[in-house]
Amino acid sequence: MAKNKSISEIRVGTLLGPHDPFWVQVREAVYKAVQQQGMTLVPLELFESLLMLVSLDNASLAEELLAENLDVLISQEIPFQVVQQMLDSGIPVVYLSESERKHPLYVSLRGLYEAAQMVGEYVAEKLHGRGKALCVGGLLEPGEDKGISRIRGFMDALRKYPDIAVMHYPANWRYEDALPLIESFLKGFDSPFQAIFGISDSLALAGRDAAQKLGILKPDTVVIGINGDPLALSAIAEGTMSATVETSAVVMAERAVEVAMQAALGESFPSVYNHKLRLITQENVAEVALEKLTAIANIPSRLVGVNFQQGQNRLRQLQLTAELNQRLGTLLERRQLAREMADLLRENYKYDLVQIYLWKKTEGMLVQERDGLHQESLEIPISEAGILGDAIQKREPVYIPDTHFSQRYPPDPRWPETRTRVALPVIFGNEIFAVVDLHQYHTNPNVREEVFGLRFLADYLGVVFRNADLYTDALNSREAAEKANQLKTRLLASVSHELRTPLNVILGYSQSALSTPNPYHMDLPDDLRQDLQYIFQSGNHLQRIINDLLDLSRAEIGELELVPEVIDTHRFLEDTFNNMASHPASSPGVAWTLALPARLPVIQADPVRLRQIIMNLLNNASKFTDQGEICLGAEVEPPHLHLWVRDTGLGIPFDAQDRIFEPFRTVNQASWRQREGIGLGLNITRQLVLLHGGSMLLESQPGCGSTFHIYFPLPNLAGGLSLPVESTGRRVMAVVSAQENLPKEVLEICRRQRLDVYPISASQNLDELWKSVQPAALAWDLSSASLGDWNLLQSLRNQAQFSRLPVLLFSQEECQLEGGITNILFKPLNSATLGEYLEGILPQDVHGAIWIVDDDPLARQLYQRLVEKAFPGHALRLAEDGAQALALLEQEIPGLVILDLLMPQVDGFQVLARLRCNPATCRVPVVVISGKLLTFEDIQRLNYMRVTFQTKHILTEEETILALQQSFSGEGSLSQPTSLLVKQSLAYLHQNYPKDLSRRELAQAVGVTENYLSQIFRQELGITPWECLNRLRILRAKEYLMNSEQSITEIACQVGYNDPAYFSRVFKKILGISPQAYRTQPKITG
Amino acid sequence: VPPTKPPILIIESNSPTLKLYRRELSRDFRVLACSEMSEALALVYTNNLAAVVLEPEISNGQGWNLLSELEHFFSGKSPPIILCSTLDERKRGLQAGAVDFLVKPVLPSVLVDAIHRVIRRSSKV
Repeated sequence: MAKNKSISEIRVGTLLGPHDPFWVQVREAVYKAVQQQGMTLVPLELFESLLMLVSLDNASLAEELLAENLDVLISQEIPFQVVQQMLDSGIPVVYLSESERKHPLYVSLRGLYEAAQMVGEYVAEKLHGRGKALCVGGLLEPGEDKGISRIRGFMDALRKYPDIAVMHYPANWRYEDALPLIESFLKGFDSPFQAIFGISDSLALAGRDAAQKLGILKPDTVVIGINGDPLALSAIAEGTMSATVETSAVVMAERAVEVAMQAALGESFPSVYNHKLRLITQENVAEVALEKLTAIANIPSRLVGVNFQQGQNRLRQLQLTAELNQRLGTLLERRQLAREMADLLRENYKYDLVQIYLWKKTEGMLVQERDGLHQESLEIPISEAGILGDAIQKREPVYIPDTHFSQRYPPDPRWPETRTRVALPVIFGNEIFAVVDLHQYHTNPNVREEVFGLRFLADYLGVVFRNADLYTDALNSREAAEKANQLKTRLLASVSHELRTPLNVILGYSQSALSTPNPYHMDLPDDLRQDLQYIFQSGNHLQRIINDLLDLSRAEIGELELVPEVIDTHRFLEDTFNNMASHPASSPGVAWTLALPARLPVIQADPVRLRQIIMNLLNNASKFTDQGEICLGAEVEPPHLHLWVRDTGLGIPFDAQDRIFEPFRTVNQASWRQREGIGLGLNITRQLVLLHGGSMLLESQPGCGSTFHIYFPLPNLAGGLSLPVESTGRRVMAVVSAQENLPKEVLEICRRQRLDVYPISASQNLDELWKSVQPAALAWDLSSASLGDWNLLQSLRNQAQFSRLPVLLFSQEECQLEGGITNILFKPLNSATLGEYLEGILPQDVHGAIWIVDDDPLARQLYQRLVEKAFPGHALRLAEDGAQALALLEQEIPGLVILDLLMPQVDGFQVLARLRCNPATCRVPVVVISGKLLTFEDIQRLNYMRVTFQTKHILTEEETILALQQSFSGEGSLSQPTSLLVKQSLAYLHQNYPKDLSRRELAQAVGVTENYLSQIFRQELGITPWECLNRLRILRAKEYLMNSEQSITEIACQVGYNDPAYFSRVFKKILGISPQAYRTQPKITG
Repeated sequence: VPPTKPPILIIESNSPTLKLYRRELSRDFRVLACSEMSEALALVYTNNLAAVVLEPEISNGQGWNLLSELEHFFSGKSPPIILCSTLDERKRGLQAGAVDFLVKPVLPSVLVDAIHRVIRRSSKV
């Protein structure tokens, strides 16, 4: 079939399983010979081992071999049908054993008959023509070679010796299989055999060992085999075996390859080729062994190579699985999954076309969903899906190595280019999700190993698909739930509307008719008034039930929402109670009492819902109380506000106490039944309490009465509700108060709750306070609040641990919190949280204190005087150095800081940096007043917004006051870059004042026009740059005048005036005195 | 001289309710009433109202649009609007700029009190 091929193009397939050492030798020799001849070796042994993993029937095996595009096959042992298919397809087969088969393309081995004859002759000679000889092996196993020629050769040879009795016993080829057979056979004989012939060396050794076990092996028993494999040689060398007939592996291989080449080239070739035979006995064994040793020398490396390749394949699968995990693990949508998966397989296995069909079991369809608008998804019924259908049905990978040679699958007209095709089912558990359809447009010789790896991949994909499906299920059910909720919401809205509209009319008109004067301008008969009363009362009852039902339904779909406000608890409870107690529907024998302390702290709650809670409980109490008392009480129990409603009514039976909060639960007792509503009130009440972050408890004694306790969390400064804290040791209440006398309500609460009182004031270090006492709650009485308290509170809010404490805030008497009437809601005057509430009532003019930070006591005095003049009555803090300022900063937030730069240890720069890095203080205006001569580096460090720099003693007192007022109010504070310009100019002046400077020079130095510079200078410092320069020069001149002996002219020159007369004029203008007079006057300070 | 009654507007589509409120509120206020959105806008723009009572659910929730339109038109300085509704949508109502939110049934006496309070408060500001 390959007549025009060059030798190197001839593909020689080999299928030479490594059954025993002899065949390993043969295989190696064949490989070597093929390569020596220059032909292409296609070793197919690798997939033999794979055959154990992937079960292949004969047809598939034949396809495999055909797909290899071989020119000739050298084979040792393959099924009859497969050989036939190869031959039918025109591929010559060189068989490495004897065979009866006749075919023009078939070559088999001959010479074993002769070898067995040699054995026969040898045995006859050793037995001296007399005795019993056993021949073992052959006949049992299927396959071409059943050992018949060897058995016959042996028999024929011994036929000439009538005194030698010959027996044959069939056995398997393998030593392990044959040994027990032979053993049981030998047991049946009393007298031993003098000779044992194994038709292969392995069988000879098996025969020997069986006889040995039974103790019938004599030293002179002849043991002989055929092949000459290494084990036999070593036995001969040891003396435990007599001889073997070597059928030279190397010669056999060389001859087989030679014939194979002739066949492949289409030349004439023999139908048989011969063994080269040699008898090996103890005499020549050493010589033969050496030959063999040399031949065997390069076997191991090739065996290692096989393992290495398998290892490589496995590694690639692992890497791919890892990548899949990364890329697919997060994908949860089937179609996208399929796409990504297809891409991965295309990239990693070099398939030309990868398609994924989703399996729709119920419809029996494979569906390929396609992208884009123009392509409809492709559906294939499983019966028409060919290889894909098979993969689904068999639940395992199916592949066509080469479509051109497939007997099982006719060519698929849709994919004419496809040569190799794999169908890979994606399975998880019992479920098949999809089948992956892989195409290659050339034949893929590695398809077997790949299928092996793809199988693992498919298992993994099964898991991924499964995850995606679970996710989709979850999505769907959530969507369904959402739809149901939307439906409920709509239904609820329409029910609300339909019920409340007529109820509004019923109640409204009956109230209107009963009012005096009534709209009819006439007196109504008493009977009619009574009837209208009934209508009104029933309407009211109906209203309560409808409201309860609607609330319950809203709670069920999570739509019961709160509109929280800060509530003045005391007034609120009073209003609610009075409203109820003034229309008592209860018996006249019941006394209504309100037990509240004189003042209660504010809470954060929805006033409508809070009222509903209290009304429900009061209504409930009134329903079951015929005489005695109904009491509403409250008390602060940090971190809670405790409310209770106590009655002296029927009480609740013990067995019903657990169930009483469940909806539609009623007590099954005659005395209860007649008073029943529909049993929703308590359930809703509890839901509302829970929504407020509170809890509810029942305490009841049947016959004596019930108490419902409610615990509402107190608010905190962070805007939330406080949570219960684990208290260790003594519990402390921190009380914010600048006053000596703490509010008596707070003291009373502390006494009752066994809390230690710890007053805190603005000067305290909060960190240390927290470390030493760890308060359990904060208390503050707004009615006695001082300005300092506000600052302290701001600091407390900024500290996480304090801001989460429960706060007992007692509002001012005049506080504008409004209580309301049932069902009336007011837009909150105050905000939803305590923090916002405090912001809202914060006094408008409160800023922090003004700080003076300077180590010079005289300077502090001066600034204090200035500040008192500028801001009469404003709080003032004096810090003697930077360290004190930092400590003060821990406790409060300044309103304005007057800062010196040069101070020991902690300097002004550090204080400034600390101020600016805290969000609470970063916008506090700072006026730096310093005698330090600024460098450009200093300017970088002062480059913050809202920092004004002034040179000490440059500005007059009035100018300083004006500058301070501007800084404090934020007026005229320029944006940062402008301010930087002023500072830069100042630095320039500081460094260059001794030189002869012009305005232009200065403006150029900072890169702006002269006019602009003057403008921003005046805006920030109140004077022009030129004035500033003059004052700076005169300031220095003053120092020289006081501390040096230099002449006026020299000093004028030193500070930058060339003309001493001009200097004197400027000096006098600024200080009101001539330089000469200044020098001679007595020293003054300031 | 008797004090002049403050003018208010009631926007309500259920006619028995509208009749009731008009009748009862007339004792204390000069009551303008309508049941249509289109009328409502004209009445608000042309009268210097002391308060507006609105059922936001009229015409399938169109009342909500009216509320935001008024807030927009008067840029936050519209006459105080009291929502008086069959649905409990307090949060939405207060966020949209209403000063009060009443859930029906609302007795005429309660509504009168509420309007008085609202007017008192807005005159204070």
